[in-house]
Amino acid sequence: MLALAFVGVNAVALSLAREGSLHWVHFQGPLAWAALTTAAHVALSRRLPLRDPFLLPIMALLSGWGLILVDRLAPGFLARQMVWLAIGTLGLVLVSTTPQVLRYLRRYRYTWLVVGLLLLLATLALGVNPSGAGAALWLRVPLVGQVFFQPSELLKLLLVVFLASYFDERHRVHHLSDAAEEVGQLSYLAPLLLMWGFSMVVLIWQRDLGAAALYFLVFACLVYLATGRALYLLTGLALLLVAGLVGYFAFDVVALRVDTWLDPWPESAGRGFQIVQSLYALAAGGLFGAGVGQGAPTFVPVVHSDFAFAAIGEEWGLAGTLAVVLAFAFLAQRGFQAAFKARRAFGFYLAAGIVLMLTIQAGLIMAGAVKLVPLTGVTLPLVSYGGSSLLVTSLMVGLLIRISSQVEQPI
Amino acid sequence: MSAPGSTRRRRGHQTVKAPNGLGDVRRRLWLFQGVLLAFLGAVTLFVTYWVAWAGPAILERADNPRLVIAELSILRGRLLDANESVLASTTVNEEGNRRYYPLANIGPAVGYYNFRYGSAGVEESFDAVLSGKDRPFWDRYWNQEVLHRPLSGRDVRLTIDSRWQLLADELMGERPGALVLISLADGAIRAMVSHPLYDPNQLEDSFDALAADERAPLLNRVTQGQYQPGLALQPLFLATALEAGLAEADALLANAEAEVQVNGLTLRCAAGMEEGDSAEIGWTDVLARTCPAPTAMIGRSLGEQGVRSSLSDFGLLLQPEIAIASSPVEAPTAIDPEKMALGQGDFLVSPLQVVVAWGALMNGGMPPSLRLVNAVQRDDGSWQRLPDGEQLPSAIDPGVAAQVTGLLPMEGGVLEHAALVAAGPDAAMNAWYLAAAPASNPRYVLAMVIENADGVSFGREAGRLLLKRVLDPQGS
Repeated sequence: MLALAFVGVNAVALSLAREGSLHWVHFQGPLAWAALTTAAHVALSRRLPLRDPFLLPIMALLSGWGLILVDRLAPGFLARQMVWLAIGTLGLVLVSTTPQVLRYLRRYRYTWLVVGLLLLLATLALGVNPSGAGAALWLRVPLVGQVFFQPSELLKLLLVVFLASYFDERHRVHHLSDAAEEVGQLSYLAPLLLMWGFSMVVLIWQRDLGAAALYFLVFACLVYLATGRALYLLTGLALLLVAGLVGYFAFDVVALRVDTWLDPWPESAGRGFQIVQSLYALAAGGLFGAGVGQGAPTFVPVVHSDFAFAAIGEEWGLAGTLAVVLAFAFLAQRGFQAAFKARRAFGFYLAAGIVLMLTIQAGLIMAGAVKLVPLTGVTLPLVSYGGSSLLVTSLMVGLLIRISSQVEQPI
Repeated sequence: MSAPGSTRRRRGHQTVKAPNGLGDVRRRLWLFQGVLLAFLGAVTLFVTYWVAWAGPAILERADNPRLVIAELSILRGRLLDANESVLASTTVNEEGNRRYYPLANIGPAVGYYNFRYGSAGVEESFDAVLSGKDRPFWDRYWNQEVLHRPLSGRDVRLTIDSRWQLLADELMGERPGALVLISLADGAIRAMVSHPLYDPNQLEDSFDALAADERAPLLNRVTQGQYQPGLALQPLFLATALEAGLAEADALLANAEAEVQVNGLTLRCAAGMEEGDSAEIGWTDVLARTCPAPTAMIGRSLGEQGVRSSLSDFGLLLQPEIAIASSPVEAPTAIDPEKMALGQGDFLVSPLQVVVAWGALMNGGMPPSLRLVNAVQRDDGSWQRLPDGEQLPSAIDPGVAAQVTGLLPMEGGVLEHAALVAAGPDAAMNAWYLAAAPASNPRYVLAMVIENADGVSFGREAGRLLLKRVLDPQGS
């Protein structure tokens, strides 16, 4: 209800700010969102009464806020975002209510991962960029026209599924055989390293370095989670640092992001323009923001995608940004609770992996917008414009809801 | 919640074992939860830092485009003339608010306001009032930060009368120079013309050309023009000499028409003697024909101290404060009294200074306290009159002033004094015309200088016509 009220009020405010009156065009998105959210809530209430009661509302709040933001910043993309929201909500309901979904994910982990990797590889030959310039990270969906899908987004989920399934299997083996030492050996990790390494190569080839860094972090965290070997985590972080140094000298984009992170002000009109405008946006918002539609966040390049957080800061103020941070913190906490409630290791690792993936991604982009860390080029889940991200995040939340519902899992 | 690694029995349901051996893993997950929350906490701190601590400073940076938006959204107050006719207003459109001047040749008193090129004139000096930036902090915070209303300024009313301003501009034609008309009763500036002129509505397209123009159309010649006074100040030095007892008003002066050499120039009376005229003439003729020799004699008689005192008494060593920019006065360090009395030295004056000095002579010796801005509008619509400027001390004894004004030529009810002045070594001449009307009890005073003039007749005719119209607005 709070999410409905928030989105409704902001739709009214945006319409008044833009048109001077209530205009239907600004209510299409919120009404569709409300209908989808309500339908999902009804479906889940019937099928999964024991689910976590907060996951769907949090997702609804963030996705509804995202719709308002897209309407404000890039109204030409609103219809597309609404379509992806509808598909994502349907996907959420399906994955959370379909019996055996976790079983199918666990059993066919290699299939899923190979599919994801093939789609990612396909971008090397068939990749496009919807904007017409930049890295070709998207595939055009055939027979549908101007609809694009980003395989690296799907690969986030498939990689976590693979890792969760792998650790689940090794956990059961470890438990049954009492081979306690096996978990810590590199041979135990070899298949993981192979599949993960392949993903990294492709991403780096594509110059999608933000996603590569995200995958690396999640992988390192899950390995540590499963093995308890701090050495692996520390080694991973050290490798990430080394990779950063190598990237700084090898890739202009990495050097640009590090330099502008350290001191963007001398280049505020050049290389540092984006982060400087982001900081201006946050500062201009003050405590309560300029009001939806009354600020000037469009000065931030690609604000509807990369810097949605800065736009929230300008138009909803510090209160808005803190609300977003709190929402992701709450989402993480509920996701971890779902992990703790999981009946078997797969659900545990899957929930943990999903939460790590979502929260680290959200944290990275929010931290980048406030110059806490260098910009990484990832989007703010559910809030930023991006159909592929919205769809995959919805599926992730659906899986969390499934795991939180304590549905019996056949062994 | 059950302990990690334990089993749990639920009533009516099959006993299901929780995942065994995940106790350590769960503890590590708790650790990750803490780390992630700490990371998000750091994000929170950084956001708060940029909003609450560093924000005010970075928002003032010149490359912040929001400054432009904020400036363009200001509902700037209007500039009105003495009769509340609009001289400048703000039009609102999608591209931002734009300043509009209904009377394009209203002149430099109003000035201009342009986002890119800045402001001048009253637009500049009263910017805080016109833009609303002088409002109290809490008023601005409530309206701009909370209610998100654009900043709005207040109207300013000038003393300029647009009827006389436009007429004066028309009468000056295309002649370069300056004209200032004041009313003696309150020191109000009724017209302020500076030629060449510019259209403030066309600054976006023409500013660069205007700034590069050698004729300096952006210069306000009334307040910033620096001219050699020549014998335009002749009546003032006569008044000083009369007061000091160094001259007599009814005296006949021998060799009054003698030529005087100064700085390589030969100065002579404006009109020569006709056969049969007396070789001795009085001050009336001297003033009417601007003969230099008697004035040079006065200068010698007064000496450096006397000349300097005369300049000071008549306010010629300071710049009148009228709320817009004016040229600083450089007081002469060493004075050649003869040369200074002839007005052909290094000492330069602005038309605004001259109108004050001339006004003092016409006002019984009391220099007028000039004002250009009359009042500022309050939020409730009422007007707050600005305080009068500092009153200068009396420049000359009223009786002496009356003596001098009695010696000045009069034509059609207008007391006047005109002088053709050498403007520089290239033989260029400027023509001064000083007038006051009505002659019996002057209420209006005018000072005009025409650059590159070939005589004083043009300024004389224009000035007479202007004063005649001012005194009788309904007349033909």
